[in-house]
Amino acid sequence: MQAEELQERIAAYPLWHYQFEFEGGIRTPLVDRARVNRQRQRRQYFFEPLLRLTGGTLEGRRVLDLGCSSGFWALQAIEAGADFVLGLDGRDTYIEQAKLVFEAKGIDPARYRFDQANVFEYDLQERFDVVLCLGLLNVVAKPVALFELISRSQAPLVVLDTGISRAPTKLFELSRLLETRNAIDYGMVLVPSRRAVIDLAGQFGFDALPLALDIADWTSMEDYRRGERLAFMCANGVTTGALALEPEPHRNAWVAAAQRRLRRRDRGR
Amino acid sequence: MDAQELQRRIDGFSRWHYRFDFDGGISTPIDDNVDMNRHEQRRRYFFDALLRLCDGSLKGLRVLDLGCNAGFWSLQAAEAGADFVCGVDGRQMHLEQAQLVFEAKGIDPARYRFEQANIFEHDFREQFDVVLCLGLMYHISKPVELFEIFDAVGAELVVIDTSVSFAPASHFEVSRDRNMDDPRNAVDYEIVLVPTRGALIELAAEFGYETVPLAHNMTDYTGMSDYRIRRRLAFICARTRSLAALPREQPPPLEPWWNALLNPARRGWQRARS
Repeated sequence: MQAEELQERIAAYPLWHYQFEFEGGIRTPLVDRARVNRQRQRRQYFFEPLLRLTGGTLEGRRVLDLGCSSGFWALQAIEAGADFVLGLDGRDTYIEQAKLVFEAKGIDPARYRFDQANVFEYDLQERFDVVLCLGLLNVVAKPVALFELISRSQAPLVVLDTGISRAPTKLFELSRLLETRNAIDYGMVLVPSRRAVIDLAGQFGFDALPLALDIADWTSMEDYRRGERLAFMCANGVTTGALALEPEPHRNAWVAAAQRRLRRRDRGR
Repeated sequence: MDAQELQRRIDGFSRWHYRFDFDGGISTPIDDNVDMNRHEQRRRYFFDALLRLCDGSLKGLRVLDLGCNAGFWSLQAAEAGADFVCGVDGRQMHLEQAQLVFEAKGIDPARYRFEQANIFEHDFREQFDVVLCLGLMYHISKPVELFEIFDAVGAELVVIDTSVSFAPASHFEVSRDRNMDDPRNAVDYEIVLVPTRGALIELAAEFGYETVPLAHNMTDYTGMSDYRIRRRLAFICARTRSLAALPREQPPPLEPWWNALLNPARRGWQRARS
């Protein structure tokens, strides 16, 4: 693809959620520049631990990316050596963007597929080794059905990044999406608390391990900082000894906030 | 069916959850006679409210009974005049019991059907006017899918009798049905989502139902301690029918935390010590 053509096709989309860089200095535009830090920090936060568990590479592994958006994480997986990536998303704009990105990056078309589908109606027949479920659990109303799909893929490793309720007990908070256009099926969603995620994953045989929030730069990472978002490494029969875990916050919200602040200050030193 | 054969077939089941009375003084044995009052009170509580909404009779209405157990509520519906009753339950034993009860009661077989199915995998093709969802919601982990069923069968009225979480917010408490062998429990997962009152009302609204938590009208709380402490409530949801006539259960007033310390009945730490 020629540089001008690529530039033109990128410009055809009014909104990109991730910054992709192509040859010749071409980039996808972001509304908020600070989000570049967010995607960098999130990669450090949950994608690097995944690579650490798989020995630094995803070679020989098939990856399923649920709610793939414009394919940023699918691309990370391919660049980390994954054999094949299947990306699912409900909106065709995202699927088109992802296809454009992979084409422009010159990825072998035999190594990926992007399908526009409602994840709850998708008839998944293939097996996968890793599932990426990033920012999806907190925008659906059917958490159990989502895990049924994950468990159908028979993957022993799931990276689960999700908005969470700060409640100290096991519960799903009934909440509403601010932008209903993001809704998969309903504007109403069930947001799990940390303990609910662990319990739910446990029901499907996964050990859900909350990853330690060792974030170097908190710019644009407000939700993680406030304890309203967390990533979990869910493992079913995989040794996870090397991972640093995020301790459970104190039951009292004020104490928890103070502890978070203290921990962050300690890390800053 | 003669009395002896009925008695023999009743005895053939290891456990009956509801008491049924048949001609000739035959009845099904239940573990605990306290349950008799419980089922009578529950009938007064939500089934009478349903009848009142339908002008005293279910004539001309088709009723779907989800988690029908031995068909106790299906039978109430049939006896209240429902045109057709479909009972669905996950366990074969319950369906055999329900079949036996309806046969012994001499209900016209064209007026009912019982099916064994996991309700979330069942393909509901027919339309129903009333759905009974009694003692089911706190045994399942898919509240949204449950309402999708109500929606799929085109239910105008839904009666939900369920345990609720006390919290004043809108959420679902994650709990566990540990013993999957208990015939009352779900057939798929141990994990269950128990709604708060607010969550149930909000969820129903998402599907176009107006919901009223029914005010208690119990005359005797024997065997009803879960209802007494408002841990369990019945709700009636309606799409178009007006629910204004139904007495509404008021949410408990928000108490300051120190009341819990002043009220000896709620001093958990003291009870634990003694």
